[in-house]
Amino acid sequence: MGGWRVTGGANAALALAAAFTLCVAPLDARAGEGHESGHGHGDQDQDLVLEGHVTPHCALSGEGLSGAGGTIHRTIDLSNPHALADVQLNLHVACTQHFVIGLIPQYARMQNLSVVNGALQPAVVGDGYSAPGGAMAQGFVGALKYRLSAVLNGAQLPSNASALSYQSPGDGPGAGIFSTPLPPMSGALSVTIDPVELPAAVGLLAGFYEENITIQLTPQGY
Amino acid sequence: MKTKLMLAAGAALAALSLSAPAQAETINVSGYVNQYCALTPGTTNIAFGNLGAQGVASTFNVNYSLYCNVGFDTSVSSLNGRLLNGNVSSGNIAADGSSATANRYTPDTTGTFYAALDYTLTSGSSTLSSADFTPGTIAPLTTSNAPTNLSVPVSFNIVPLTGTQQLTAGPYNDTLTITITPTGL
Repeated sequence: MGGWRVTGGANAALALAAAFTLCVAPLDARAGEGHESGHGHGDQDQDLVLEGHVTPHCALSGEGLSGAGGTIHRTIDLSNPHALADVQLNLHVACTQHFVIGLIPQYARMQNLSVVNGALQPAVVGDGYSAPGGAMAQGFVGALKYRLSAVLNGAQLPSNASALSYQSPGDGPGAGIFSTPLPPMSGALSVTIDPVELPAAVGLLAGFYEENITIQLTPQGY
Repeated sequence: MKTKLMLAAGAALAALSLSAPAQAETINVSGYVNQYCALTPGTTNIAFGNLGAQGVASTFNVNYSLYCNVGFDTSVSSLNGRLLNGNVSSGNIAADGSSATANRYTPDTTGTFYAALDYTLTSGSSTLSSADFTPGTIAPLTTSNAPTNLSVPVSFNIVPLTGTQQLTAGPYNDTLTITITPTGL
């Protein structure tokens, strides 16, 4: 009695069936060879073991992402902080396991990185600025709030505040949006960053503003 | 021939039970706001009117709209350093020894007449006198100011002559330049 072990593999769940199908043809061929060359008489039991596996895989693609820890860069025109355009990203999520998706802001606002550390006082008047040891600057802020929303496969992801939109900095840096465990899927992810326009009497301090939002896919197994 | 085809589903599922590593990508959103400062005076012409024989002790207040989205310093420079009689040539004016500015009208040997009049400039808690902004100098007025979008009052004050001192006749004037220098945050 002889045995053949034929294995196959794929990197995505959707390719699992195809992987097995591809394995069958060479298996039959090899079984035939074994019959003719190895044993010419009587019944034979031949165990053919077909195996396959799918490498667990979660990936985010679109907007230039390669799925290897990349960064999407977008610039917002801040010349008129009373009329600001949204940033809209159209991405794609593929995960072969149950997973949780999280959108995690670094600053929970677009923060003026030109400001000396500690000069921004969000606890006092939102995003107000005071020179170290000085009084609050009147009429200016050193950070820009935004609303963050994400729609995965047509379903709005909840924010920590149980609202459709995430408004910083009330929810705090690192809070962000997290889904409940989701089933394996391959679906569209739409992310919108909506900067909150400033009141007419308030301006932005000069400098470079930045926010980094990490989109994290965390497999949860089966 | 009997052939057993054993589909090793168990083995496959065992392989599938491996957990995938977490994936993380980043959205970087940025923007830039240029430095911008503007000083708009309520008036560019300050007329003290008739100065009288010794200069009337008067104050002229001007409100400046000051906008600066970055920290800043202010400084002052002056064409004449004081209110100067436009009819008197510069060669006929000299210091009298009691003032840092050259105000005495030298053709008058009695020491009675003067051809220039000092004044002071006040903004907030800072006050500069004519001795501070003599021609060719840049006098700091305020420093390390926080970004501002306010109406800022500035006062100009005549410093009258004293004793027997008298002003020569003529138009007295000066041109003052206030400069805002962005300093950062």
